Amino acid sequence: MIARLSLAERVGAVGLAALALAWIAGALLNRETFFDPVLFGLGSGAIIAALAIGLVVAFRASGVINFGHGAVATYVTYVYVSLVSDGRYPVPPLPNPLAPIEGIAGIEIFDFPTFINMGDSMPRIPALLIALATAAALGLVAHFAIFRPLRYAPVLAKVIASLGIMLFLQAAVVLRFGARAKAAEPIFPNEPVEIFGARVGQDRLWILGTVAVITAGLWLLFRYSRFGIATRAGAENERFATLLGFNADFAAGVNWVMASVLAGLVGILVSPITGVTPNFFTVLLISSLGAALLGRMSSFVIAAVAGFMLGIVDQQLFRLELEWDWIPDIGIRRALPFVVIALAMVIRGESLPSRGALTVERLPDAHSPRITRGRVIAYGVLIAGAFWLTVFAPFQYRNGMQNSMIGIILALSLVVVTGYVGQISLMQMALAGVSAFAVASFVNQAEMTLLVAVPLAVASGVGFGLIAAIPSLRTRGASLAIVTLASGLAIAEIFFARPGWFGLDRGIKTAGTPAIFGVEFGPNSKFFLGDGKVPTGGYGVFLLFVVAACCISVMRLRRSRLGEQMLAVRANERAAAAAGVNVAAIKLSAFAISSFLAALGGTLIAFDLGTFGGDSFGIFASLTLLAFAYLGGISTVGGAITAGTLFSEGIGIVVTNEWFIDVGPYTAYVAGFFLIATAVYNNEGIDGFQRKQVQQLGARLNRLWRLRAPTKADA
Amino acid sequence: MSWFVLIKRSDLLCVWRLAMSDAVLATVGLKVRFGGLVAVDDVSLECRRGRLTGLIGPNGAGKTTFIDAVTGFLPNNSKGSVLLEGEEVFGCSPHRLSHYGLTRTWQTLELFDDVTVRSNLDIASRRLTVGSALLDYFRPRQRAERVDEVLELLNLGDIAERQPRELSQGQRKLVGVGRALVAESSNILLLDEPAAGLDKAETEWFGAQLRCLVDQGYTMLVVDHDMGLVLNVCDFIHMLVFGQLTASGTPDVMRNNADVIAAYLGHSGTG
Amino acid sequence: MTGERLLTIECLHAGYDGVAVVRNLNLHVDSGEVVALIGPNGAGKTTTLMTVSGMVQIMSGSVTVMDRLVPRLRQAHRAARWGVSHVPENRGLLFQLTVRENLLLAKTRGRVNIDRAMDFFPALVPLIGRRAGLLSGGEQQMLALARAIVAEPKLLMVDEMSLGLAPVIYEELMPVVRRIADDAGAGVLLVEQHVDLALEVSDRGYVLNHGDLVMQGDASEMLADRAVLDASYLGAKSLED
Repeated sequence: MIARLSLAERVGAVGLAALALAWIAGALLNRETFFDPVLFGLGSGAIIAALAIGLVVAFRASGVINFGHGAVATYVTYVYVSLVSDGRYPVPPLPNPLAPIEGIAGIEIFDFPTFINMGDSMPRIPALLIALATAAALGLVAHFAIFRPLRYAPVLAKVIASLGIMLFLQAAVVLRFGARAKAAEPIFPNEPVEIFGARVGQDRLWILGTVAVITAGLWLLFRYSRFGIATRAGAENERFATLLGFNADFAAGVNWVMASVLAGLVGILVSPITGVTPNFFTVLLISSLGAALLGRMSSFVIAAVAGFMLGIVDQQLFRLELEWDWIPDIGIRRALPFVVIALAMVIRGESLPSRGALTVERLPDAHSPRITRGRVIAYGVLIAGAFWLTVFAPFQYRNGMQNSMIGIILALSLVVVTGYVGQISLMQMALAGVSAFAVASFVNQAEMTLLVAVPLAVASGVGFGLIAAIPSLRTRGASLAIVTLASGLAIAEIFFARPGWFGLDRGIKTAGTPAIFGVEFGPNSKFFLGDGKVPTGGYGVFLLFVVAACCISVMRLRRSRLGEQMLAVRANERAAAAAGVNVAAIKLSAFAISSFLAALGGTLIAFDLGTFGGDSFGIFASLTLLAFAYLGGISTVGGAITAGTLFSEGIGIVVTNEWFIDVGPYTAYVAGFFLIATAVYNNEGIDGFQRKQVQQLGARLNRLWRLRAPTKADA
Repeated sequence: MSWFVLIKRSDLLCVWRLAMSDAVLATVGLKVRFGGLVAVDDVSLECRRGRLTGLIGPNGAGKTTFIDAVTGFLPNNSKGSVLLEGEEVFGCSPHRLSHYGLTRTWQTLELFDDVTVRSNLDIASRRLTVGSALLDYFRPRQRAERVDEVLELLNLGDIAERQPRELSQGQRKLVGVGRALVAESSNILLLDEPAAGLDKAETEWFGAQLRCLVDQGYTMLVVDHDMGLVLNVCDFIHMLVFGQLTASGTPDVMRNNADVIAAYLGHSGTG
Repeated sequence: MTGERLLTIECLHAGYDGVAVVRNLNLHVDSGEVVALIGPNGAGKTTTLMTVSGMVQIMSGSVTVMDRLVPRLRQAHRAARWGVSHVPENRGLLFQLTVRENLLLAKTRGRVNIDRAMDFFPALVPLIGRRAGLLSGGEQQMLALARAIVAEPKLLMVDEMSLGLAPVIYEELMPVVRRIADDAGAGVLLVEQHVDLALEVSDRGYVLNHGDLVMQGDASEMLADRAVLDASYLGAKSLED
């Protein structure tokens, strides 16, 4: 065993052992500082460990890193809470799936049952069983409707689909149960017990035991049972397992059910201690991803131990930050998942075990339209229409246009890095936030002129982007997604959540009104056109210029040599290298351009909002951005424009609200649903879908014409 | 060196051509290991200018691994020496080797499916620096003469604006060759299994295309199983068995070489 | 040799991405006989086997295994449950699993009798706990055959057994294939590049070249008619029958 470890792994192991010894010594000397946190950390450690194990099971089942795993835990926990407290079983997936249709039609079509009443309040055990059965059903749906069709799909589609599950389930929870925290009835006794003089809730120990038993059980199952061995075989090489007569599909389905039930169980068990909010488990999932990565997505024991360690270290750091004044208050604790994931990448080598897949399907087409006179006219009409909407339309449309135009720039940043180069980045909004916070600080605190402040702010965004991109040179696919997710979290927690010169000022950040040489052009400034109500057209027109410039630049990038080399890297890194493409340089330049666009978008948001908080730039904002960008079409400028219209409070949403129905509360829910559908059935997004329709129509007309032609000739 | 002895027996013209040309690519003691498995064992061979060198051997003999190692894709598993035009290039990254004119094709083609045939060649045609990328971005693109030249050379002009996935397998193979040929200073081309997936007629046609290129002065190394192709079009042939160079010679020599026959047909030496 | 008909291939066209790699192939295997499918690389031998296992889509024609049409791609695992054992070119071993675990996977259900295989290959006994990826090439091939024996197949298909093996080793393994046919009455379809090697243990032979069946007949007769065989390999003028 020892001989198989790499040098980095050995150094890491020795370091860990030394740390553990120091810790034990500390605990003997000072129980309160060094032993109590260990006990208190067991609760969160157990969640992290259990979620990590579930991630490993799902990965072994179908090679997917399931970003929706935490959301499954959340949903099932809420089902349990509802059953125990009100005796009502929520009919999945929505309060009323007909609501949007009824909204448009303006009548009630059918009284859809949203809850099934099962008496006043249900005893805990039956409720637990029903909730876990729901989890099992979710697992089956995840496998058969989503990940099995995606078996041969590129990693990007799988990551997107799992993000779709996350958004969908979280949105379902918010719609159904509200955003408030809830706590489940405890299943384990919670009277405190005393261990070495420290008092701790008994339930934590029970949970610790449960997770340990499950880990051991899974280990035994995968080591000794024919089912477990066949699953491992299928993960190593699906083709060989099939030749031996094993149905890899069936095994994957069973594993998905196990993973889901495990997620639900951990949610129900720990929520009495921690409470649960709609995104609680997803935030914890980032730590679990770190733990699972340390176990290389294949070792239950390492993943579980690492999970517990993370929980304990987190508590320990919390304690030390309170007690030791010399620790700088920069949120080290919040960056812990990022540190662990970065370490896992360094220590555990470049990539995850890959699966011997049969074929890999195509990535979305990076279509580049030929510039014809007709197209130029169409673009002109589009811009003129946008101009009218931003200046003369009623204020809610003007506002929608502003949001959409910023959305387009942010989506373009993903088109470059994810669409053209195939690198999944889940930190775009964090980069936008860096630049938004920077520009606000530069303008308001340092009193710089805009001409200096904006370039500096954008440059800082690009700087962060490039630092976070360094792992992309070694990792790709889902691992890179995890790294960027963790970077985004670390940036948000360290910079956007705390006060300071660069950070918040009494909970908000103020960018003020943009002005150059005394001419103000913010959303509230006077503008010579339009009705003069806020938002005025000035900022909108400015945005329109910026957006048009960005769109044209990215279209030109796609056509340029650099763009073609990006596509070459996306298509095949090896072949690109053999064709003389410097893959590392191309990836870094893509990240630089992408960060530039994201940072630019960030400064525009800053001035659009005037004052803002950190939550506009959190990880969920980044995930939602990727969702919309993919939905619109991740690999084309047209897709980014489509994504912009769909963007939260964007023009598309405003139009729907005004003309049809208030979709506001349903946005995330519908987006999640269509995101999954897009990933599974049409990876080119709305833009590609439209393009195909137009092409088919053209082909059909063409055929019709050709059918006609001979008859004419005959006549 | 054993091949020299064999050459002496073959025709005088060949000897004369050898003497007049020099080695474009030479490996000295190239060795590739995967864990305990030695995939390429101390292989020293040369590819001479303006000639088509063949590398044959049964499945799993290490032919593709040899190409991977020469083109810099196995930096952690290989050791030895690779000389390109007499200069040591072992340890250089693949994209740098491509700039030096050491290019390759792939058995599985690995074309860039998202862009046109012309762009496939264009990507490989020149090195992109910060300066040239910016220049290209801000100024309308100049047509790359080299790309047109190669398109013409391979008769790909008609399909230059089409996407690779719309083409026949044989055409796709040619695009792969074109992408390797188009490098700024193409010194030598390593072709990995160019005939795989082609039927008999296509293979013959493809062989003729290769021969034609070599006659125009290009230097190539062809790895293939198809003995017909290799024996008919190559000037000189090496054979790898279990990672070791076991026989070398002109096609006529190799056709009658006992080791070759044994490796391919399983006769023992007398066959 | 009037065994039960195990495998019938009629007018088969099969290949990848719409390109037929095998064209108009007719072939059959009966129980108790060893049939060699030989031909140079790229001839379509492996594709034929993959088609029988349901791993490659049939473009036209039919493949019948034990009186059942081969399963579609999604149900490919069923072929093995009907009693087809396929040792693929790269041996199909799972390198992360131990020798014992590999043998355990020979059957999807029911008891697995490892001892039978150990009688054939005593050399594997001391290696039982070792990971398959750490075995030498010869040991790996033994394990692959051992797994096929444990599976007690009705139809055994072995792809390129001699691949990457020294002559000493595969000359030992070939007779084992013969024994499986003789002792257990299984039909064996043996794919080989090495003509002599395959024909020596076979009853009948088929020669494929570039996807076309160029020759078939009794193994001993084919061995005698060397000139035609060699020509199909070394790329002399194509054969027209």
